[in-house]
Amino acid sequence: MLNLIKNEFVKIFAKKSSYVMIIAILVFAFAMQFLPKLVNNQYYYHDYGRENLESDLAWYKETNSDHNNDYVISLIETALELEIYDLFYYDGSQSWQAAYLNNTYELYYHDAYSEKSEADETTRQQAVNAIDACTKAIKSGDYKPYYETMKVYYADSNSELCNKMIDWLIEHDVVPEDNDWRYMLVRNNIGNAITVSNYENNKRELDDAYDNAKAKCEICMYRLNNNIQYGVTQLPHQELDDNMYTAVKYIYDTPFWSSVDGSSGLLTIMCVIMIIIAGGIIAGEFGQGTIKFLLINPVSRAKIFWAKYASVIILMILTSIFTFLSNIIATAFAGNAGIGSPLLSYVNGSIHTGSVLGVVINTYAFDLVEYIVVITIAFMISALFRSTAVSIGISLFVMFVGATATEIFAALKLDYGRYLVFANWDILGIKYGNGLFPHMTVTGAVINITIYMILFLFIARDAFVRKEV
Amino acid sequence: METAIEIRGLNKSFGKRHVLKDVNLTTYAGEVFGFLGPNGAGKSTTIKMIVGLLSIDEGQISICGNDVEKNFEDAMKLVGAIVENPESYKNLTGLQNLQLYARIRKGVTPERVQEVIELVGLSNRIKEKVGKYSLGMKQRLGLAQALLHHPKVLILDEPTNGLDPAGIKTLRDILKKLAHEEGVCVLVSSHMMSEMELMCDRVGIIMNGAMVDVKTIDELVASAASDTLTFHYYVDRAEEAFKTVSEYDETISGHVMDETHFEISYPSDKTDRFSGELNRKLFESGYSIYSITPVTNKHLEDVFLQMTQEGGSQIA
Ligand SMILES: Nc1ncnc2c1ncn2[C@@H]1O[C@H](COP(=O)(O)OP(=O)(O)O)[C@@H](O)[C@H]1O
Ligand SMILES: [Mg+2]
Repeated sequence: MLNLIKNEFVKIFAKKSSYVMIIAILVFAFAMQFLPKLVNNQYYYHDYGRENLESDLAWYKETNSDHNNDYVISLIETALELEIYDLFYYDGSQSWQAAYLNNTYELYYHDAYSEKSEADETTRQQAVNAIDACTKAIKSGDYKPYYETMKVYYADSNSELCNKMIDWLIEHDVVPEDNDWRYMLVRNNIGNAITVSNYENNKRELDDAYDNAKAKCEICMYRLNNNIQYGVTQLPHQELDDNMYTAVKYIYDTPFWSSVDGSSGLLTIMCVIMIIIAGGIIAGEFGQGTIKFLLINPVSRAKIFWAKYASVIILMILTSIFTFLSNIIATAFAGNAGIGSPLLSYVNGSIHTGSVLGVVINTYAFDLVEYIVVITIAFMISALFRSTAVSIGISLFVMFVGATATEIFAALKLDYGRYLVFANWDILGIKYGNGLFPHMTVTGAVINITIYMILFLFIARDAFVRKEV
Repeated sequence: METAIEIRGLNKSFGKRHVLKDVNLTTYAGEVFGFLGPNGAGKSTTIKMIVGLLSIDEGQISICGNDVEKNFEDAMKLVGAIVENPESYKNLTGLQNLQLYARIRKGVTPERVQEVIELVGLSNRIKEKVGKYSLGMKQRLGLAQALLHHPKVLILDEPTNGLDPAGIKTLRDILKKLAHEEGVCVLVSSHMMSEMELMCDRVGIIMNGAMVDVKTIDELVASAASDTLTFHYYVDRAEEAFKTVSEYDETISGHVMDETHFEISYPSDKTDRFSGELNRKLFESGYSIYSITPVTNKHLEDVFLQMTQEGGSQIA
């Protein structure tokens, strides 16, 4: 059997297309690393700048109707004076000066300058002073008052965790620049800290969202105290990611692993190439006429059949590993940091660390299930037809139409669609509750896939063993 | 004599087409057996059934006592074969092709691989990709493949296809040596009779899917020669002369060889009457007859042509 498999590999690697596959994977692995960088860099600096803010100001001055205009106009004018141009960019890269100015205005402008304010003279004076202090601090580059204002800003939510995080930054003299990961980490977790205190202060019933927010805050504090710049946070429950598109259970705060994990899509390209190989592995022997010489060896047809199937599957697994390693190498070349990041989880009140590698490998391994089903279909078709072209064509067609048809069934709420193998092969998705049909379970999916695989292989084996050559 | 291939009551149909009709055949160790028949007679079909490429509708085939259906692996250990065209993996070299087979057959050492390469005369080209081989070279590679594991039964389907005369001679020598010195049973199919005559000990003739005759070469020639006589004519205008002669009686057959030579055959019991009358007719019609030679050494080719003509055969 081993020799049969070895023979198949000799035949596969005698073809140029097999090397094209390897090179394609490498090229794509590197392209995925470097292309987005080129595109992103151009995109960022577009909107930043004095002109934008000035044209905003002009617009607000023209549309005079809203009573809020005074506030915005004053804010923009101050920003222009202080040369803060990212005033309205609330994303992760906003400068502390912009954030500070925004917060200060939001807290004090009304009391300090609005005619509608009912504040007494002392309060008004305090408010004016606060705004002055802010502009002065920004001019002199003193960031400490920014942290204090931040605490005041979030004081309403009465969040102990929030204060704890900000105090940590003050104590450790963390400069609030977006290149300091500690500052960024806290900024990203303030929202979670407030969520936690909302639940606790209002005695709301604790649910998944609370568990996740709590875990994120605890892991944040743990990383601060243990100086862990890059890490992967394992959530207690899946939640929608920032794009609200897919459910995630791991948050990759490490450029290295997030890139490796994100590149698992490369397996798709590999899968197409594997369909071509699997589609030709039996039909190709007929096409070349070599089948007659293969089958007259003292080896039963069933053995030859299983050896060919095993070869395809082994090649598939090897290619996945190769893809995984290519991604790691490309990621390392692209200079992404954080290869040694730990996996952090918060279970029963304490932090546990683990290995990220396992999680990423898991992603690849689950993707592999889908591809193995696809490859098995291609292999089956290869055993049924004599022409490689027909066999590959039908495989690609079935794959495309099968997956699309299943999505249409799902969209039309035709429930028997759930029994199609195409609805079941995304096991990870089903595990995270993203199944195409309601109430799908991992066990159900595994059983479904197993039945299909046995069926496919039985049909293929039967056809191959009986075939008249 | 040890039985090598035994075929009993073999029938095969493709759809409605009855391609093999009750074929019976026994071959023995130590002989070169010629399996003769015109194109489409069913030679390849029979061979494919012997090596298990086609299923058997009815009947049995065994190789040295091993039923090919029930005992496939054991039967195939004893068989080496080329079925139809000798196909190989084009992207691999000749050597790599042989190594594929060496790996999945028992007891084939690297030395044995080299040995068969030498035997078939491919040593110089064995490291080239098969894509560059001529048909003759592929034929040799196919033979090497078939011989790798010291088979007791060697089956070659039209092996002289694409071989040059030197190649045919080498093949003939190899096959004779294998059969007569090593006791291998060699079954060679062909539609070219002349080659078989020098190569085979016995021949079986198949036509339209049925075995017509199985005889030793000598028996076959003798049986055909005994009731017909053939004469070789050397005249001034062969074509017209042949026409005149063959119109004389319907039992006369033969063919024109070139502008001045032709041959005719007729049943031996009519010799007395025909020989005088035919020659007189030619003479009277104004042809110049330079010589008339009786052809005593009847070749297998003619026997075969005669047999197939008697059967009124069209290519099936
Ligand atoms: N796979 C097939 N399907 C239908 N008819 C076939 C098939 N293979 C062979 N035949 C027919 O069977 C007959 C015998 O063919 P074959 O054994 O190849 O002849 P040959 O003696 O020339 O080798 C021919 O008439 C051929 O057309
Ligand atoms: Mg043939």
